[in-house]
Amino acid sequence: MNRTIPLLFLCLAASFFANAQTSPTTQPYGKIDIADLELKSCDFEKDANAMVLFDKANAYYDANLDLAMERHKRIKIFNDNGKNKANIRIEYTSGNHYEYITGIQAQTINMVDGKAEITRLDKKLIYTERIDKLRSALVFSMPNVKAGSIIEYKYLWNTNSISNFPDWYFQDKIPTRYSEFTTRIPDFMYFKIKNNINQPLVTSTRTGQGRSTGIGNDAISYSLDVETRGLANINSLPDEPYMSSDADNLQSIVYHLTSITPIGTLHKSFSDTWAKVGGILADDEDFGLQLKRKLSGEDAIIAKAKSLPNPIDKVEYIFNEVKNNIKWNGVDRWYTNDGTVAAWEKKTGNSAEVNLILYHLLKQSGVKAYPMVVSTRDHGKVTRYYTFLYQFNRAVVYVDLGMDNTLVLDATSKYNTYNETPANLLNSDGLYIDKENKKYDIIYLINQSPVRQVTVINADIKTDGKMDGTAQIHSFGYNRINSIKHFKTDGEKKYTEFLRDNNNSLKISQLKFENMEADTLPLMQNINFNLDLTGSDDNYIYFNANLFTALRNNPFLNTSRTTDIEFGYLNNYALRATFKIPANYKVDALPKSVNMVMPDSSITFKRIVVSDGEMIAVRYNIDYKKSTFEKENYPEFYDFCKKMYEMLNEQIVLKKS
Amino acid sequence: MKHWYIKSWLCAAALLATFNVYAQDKKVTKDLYIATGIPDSLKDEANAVVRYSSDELIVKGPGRVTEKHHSIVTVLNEKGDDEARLILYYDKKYNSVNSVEMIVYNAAGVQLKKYRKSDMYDRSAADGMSIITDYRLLALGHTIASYPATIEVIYETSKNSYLDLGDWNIQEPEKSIQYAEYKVSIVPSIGFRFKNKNTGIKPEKTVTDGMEKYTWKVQNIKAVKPEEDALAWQVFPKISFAANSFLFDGMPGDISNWQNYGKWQQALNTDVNSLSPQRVEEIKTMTAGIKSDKEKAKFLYEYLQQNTRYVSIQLGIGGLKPFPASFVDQKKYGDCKALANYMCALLKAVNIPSYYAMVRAGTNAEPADPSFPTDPFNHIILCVPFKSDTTWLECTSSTQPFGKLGPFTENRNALLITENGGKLVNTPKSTGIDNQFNSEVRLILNADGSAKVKAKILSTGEYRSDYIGIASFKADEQKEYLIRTLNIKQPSAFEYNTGADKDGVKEVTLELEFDKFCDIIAGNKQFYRPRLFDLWKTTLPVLEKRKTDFYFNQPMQKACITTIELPEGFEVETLPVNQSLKFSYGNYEITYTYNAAKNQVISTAKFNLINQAIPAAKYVEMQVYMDNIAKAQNKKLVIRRKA
Repeated sequence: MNRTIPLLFLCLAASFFANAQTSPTTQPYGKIDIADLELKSCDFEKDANAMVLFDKANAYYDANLDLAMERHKRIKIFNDNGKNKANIRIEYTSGNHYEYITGIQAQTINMVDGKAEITRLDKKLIYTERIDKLRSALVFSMPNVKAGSIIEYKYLWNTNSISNFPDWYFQDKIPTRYSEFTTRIPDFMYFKIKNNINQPLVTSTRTGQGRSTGIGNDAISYSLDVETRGLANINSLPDEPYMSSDADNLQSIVYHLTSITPIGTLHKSFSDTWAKVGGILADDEDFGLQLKRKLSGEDAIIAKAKSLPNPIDKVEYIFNEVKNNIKWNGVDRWYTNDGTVAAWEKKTGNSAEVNLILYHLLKQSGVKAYPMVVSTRDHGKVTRYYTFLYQFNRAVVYVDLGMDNTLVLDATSKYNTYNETPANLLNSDGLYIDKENKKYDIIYLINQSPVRQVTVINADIKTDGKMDGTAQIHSFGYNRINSIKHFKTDGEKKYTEFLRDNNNSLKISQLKFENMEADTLPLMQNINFNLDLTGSDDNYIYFNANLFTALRNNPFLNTSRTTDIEFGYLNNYALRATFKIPANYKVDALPKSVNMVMPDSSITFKRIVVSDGEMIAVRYNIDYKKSTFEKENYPEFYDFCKKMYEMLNEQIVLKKS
Repeated sequence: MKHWYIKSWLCAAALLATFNVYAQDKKVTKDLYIATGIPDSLKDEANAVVRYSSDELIVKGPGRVTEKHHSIVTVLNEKGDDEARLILYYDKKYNSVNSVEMIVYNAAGVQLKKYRKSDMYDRSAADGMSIITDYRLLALGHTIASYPATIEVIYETSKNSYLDLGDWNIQEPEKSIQYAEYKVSIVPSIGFRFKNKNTGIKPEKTVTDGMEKYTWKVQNIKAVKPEEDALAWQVFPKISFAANSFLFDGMPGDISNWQNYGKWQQALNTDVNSLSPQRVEEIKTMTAGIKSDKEKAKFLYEYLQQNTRYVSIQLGIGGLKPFPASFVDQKKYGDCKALANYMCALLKAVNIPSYYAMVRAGTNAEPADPSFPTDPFNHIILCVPFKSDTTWLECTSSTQPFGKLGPFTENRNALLITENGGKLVNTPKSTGIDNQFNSEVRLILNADGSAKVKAKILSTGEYRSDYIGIASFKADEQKEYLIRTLNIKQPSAFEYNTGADKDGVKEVTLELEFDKFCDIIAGNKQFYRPRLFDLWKTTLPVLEKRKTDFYFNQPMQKACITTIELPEGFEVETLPVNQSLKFSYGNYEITYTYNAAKNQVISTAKFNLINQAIPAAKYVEMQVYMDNIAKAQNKKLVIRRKA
């Protein structure tokens, strides 16, 4: 292909900004509004220390089909705390000249005597950090920065790969007033687009530009699709409790090249359906071709598994064999690196190696198992219409036991069990591969049964303002897994301190576990404790029944919320407590029995408190019917949590009679 | 071609020779690779056991240093996994890594895997603070599949620049030692010195081929788990090394005393601490109307704070030479060296002498040993020697009050770089008066158990820093921080305002509303914890025996006066008892008075800590004292409807 032929641009389209909004928008480099220099705060996020005034990029294929992106970003510094936004770092993949940056310019603009004063960045002060073999970064700090400064920079990003189309993030860790992404793509290139935009586009134009390449009889014409998307007033993305990944939340647009049908004959087709993706996986050297490889010493394991009568027993046995014999090296990939054979030899491997070994042994033992690729919670949810393999970051095993009984197995964590889909894989899709039947399908991973934790307390209140008693904590499912993990990683001493909430008034004289090794049974913790009720005085004894539950502090203190709350699964808590009142005391105040339900019935909270004069019985029940709470409904959720925690911490008062 | 073969053969031979040295070391016996041979006493509290460790430092002259390391460490459990990770730093000019090997063995001593230098991941050594540095690192990581496993590490590094010869950190936390040695071979002419800390071991000294050779050995040292809030440098044994003659970037120096070392640094700084005559004139004009030198210094310090920002860039001569004052003047940023040097130049412009001061920064960090000159410093501040009123300036902070350092650099020493060379002097001691938290709270209780609260907090020192620090948070995060750190009940409405920041005193106000401030309502009675927040939150774990001194970050003085207005028609049923608690280094007092005429309860609480360092012997006393404070703060106020 002759790639040096000069090009002809036939501009058929009107300018980009034909229907651009009046405000906000972008400006040429060096042209600054005085109003922006005078700006004191971000209109839609008053507490921001800095904001992006605009971030504008134009990603295009030139006449030689070389891909590049022009970028121009302008940032406003409101106060001293925003000054670190004037330290710029532009990372790129430099290995093999895959990406490179040219034409960088940067300047600081300050208001001096009512006029814009420009301080250019000295090019000598742009440092190139060679991060490693593959990556580099341009690093610089802007000169003359003060509260009120505007900084801007622009550069051209280049790549030598036709398919390395840049991702665009409209959202940042600081608010963005306007973000605009223009793409110029020849009409013979087909992309899948993953669009994570949840506010209206203020700029949205799409036009075609005729273009031709070649001379005379060889001249070929095609159209260049020019598309511009702009978002305005985009909030910063904070870190909030129980939010899912940044990837799920950051507003962005991602392009993936699926096929090229150039004028002429060449036709390349990439993954544009899940079936194709599955087919690619099945034939991949580092995935499909790993599945049948024989592992040294596997015969003994397979023979033992085969001798077990039930498929579920085979699964349990092999799952534990793999979990205990090979250690995950902390690397998450959907593909193998050293291969399953080498990983088995070394007893360590990445997540694909560990779980493809598991798959292989299950399959050889006659279990209906399939390899499956998934995305962990941190990596972000899989978007179904975006058929791109790199949405996945881990391989696991999908087992079909028949009668609608399926399992998702992941042996990378010592604390995972064969009968629970790991919590960090829930609420996203997995793609499983059934090569024999050429069936490649997407499955939504979800756990809809309540995950229970029950605390039972029996205690005597003493006249000297002390409580003496026992507690049993029954932990099911993920609660069981989390407690065991916590205990084993922190050790008994730290774990006991956690149970005590570092409260020196509470002493644990004994802690015993039951069912620690039995995956199918709830974990039981038997505790003997005594508690000094320090609020008590000569007349009154005060105590709170909410002991040894996971419900101490309300995690939702913020009155506003930017992202959805995702617990991942349905929590269910119960407390059943009985307290014996000392002889010369009587109940002075008891919390009321209450039943509280969210307006949409997604959470119910029940409290029952009764006394017969000798004993007090307390029951709490919290039942979640939903695991995700949308940000739009946060006010109700916030109020509910506030009231619930108030009620959980309401005390009982006894008075000397 | 032939030459090439010969050369590569020679290299290989040289490599073999190097390893033969180790192989021939009689101390490296086969049983060191086998995990079963470890005595139980060395497994106690240990995550890893050093079976054998040998370091040799060979100094052939100033700036000619080679270090050879060979260690065999058995990892007992997952917490010892770091032993299978190796990171070696280097840079293009001064430090190089010559050879590396890491070999992994299973419990029986069978070799599982061997890594070489070419297997290492090479990357820039970003430290998180600096935007860019010259340093790079080589990293290697092995995932241990089953325990115990033994890791052998052999490497050789060399350098052409040094200030001192570093330390032998003999022991690390939760790691026992079967055998370890450290050897220094050094030419006598450069004046080798060493100094012990937390150990009494002595070297064996021999002389061969004109080189002095020192050898230290330790064996069978049990693992130590550091206590919480203790200082590692007060516990773990180490030996520091230095040679009187040093060479850095080709520049010779003498570090036999602080004065001479200071002269070297001074020479490095001479060409960078002047401003242009025009700028000098401008600065003189700016300060012309100010009478005293101290006032001028304050003016210029505030000028520095308003006009520059801290940006760490560690390039050039080992990160030792500041950027020129004129650079900071133009670009308005710099690191600690550059900003201190610039402040010095600003003062010089108005004829106020000041000294660049090198310090080891960090809360409760180890001071430099006056009797053993080395370069333990990692930060630069400025000392302005006004007559009988020495003033210290932290030049990297845009908010620190003039003349206040804080726990980051207080309570230790700093090396002043004067015209006559170095001078080691003490930085100020932390005092409670410098770290005050004074608050006034007005609680208005309503008959339905709801309440309105107004609080004003005046803070200095570290408390002031906290409130200034959270100014960078989002509004919601600020409120959450306050609710959690002060232990406030979740309010139904919350206004947080930062007020004046004058003469080192920061004022903030909190206005809160609670639908339910009352703990419990029962008939005619209401039960309250009569406070908005806990004045003191810390309690300490009960220990059988505390071995090491306990450290707070700083001494402090805290006070809170709370006025509680009872709802109309209510009176006090039970007033919490007054308490006065004391321990050797502080006291806590709380009093309650009821003014029936105004129907107000007024409580006054005070907490003082007079020293940040608490001797181990006083731990139990402090532990009980803090439990008693927690109990005192938990007492309730009971009010009832008047009959």
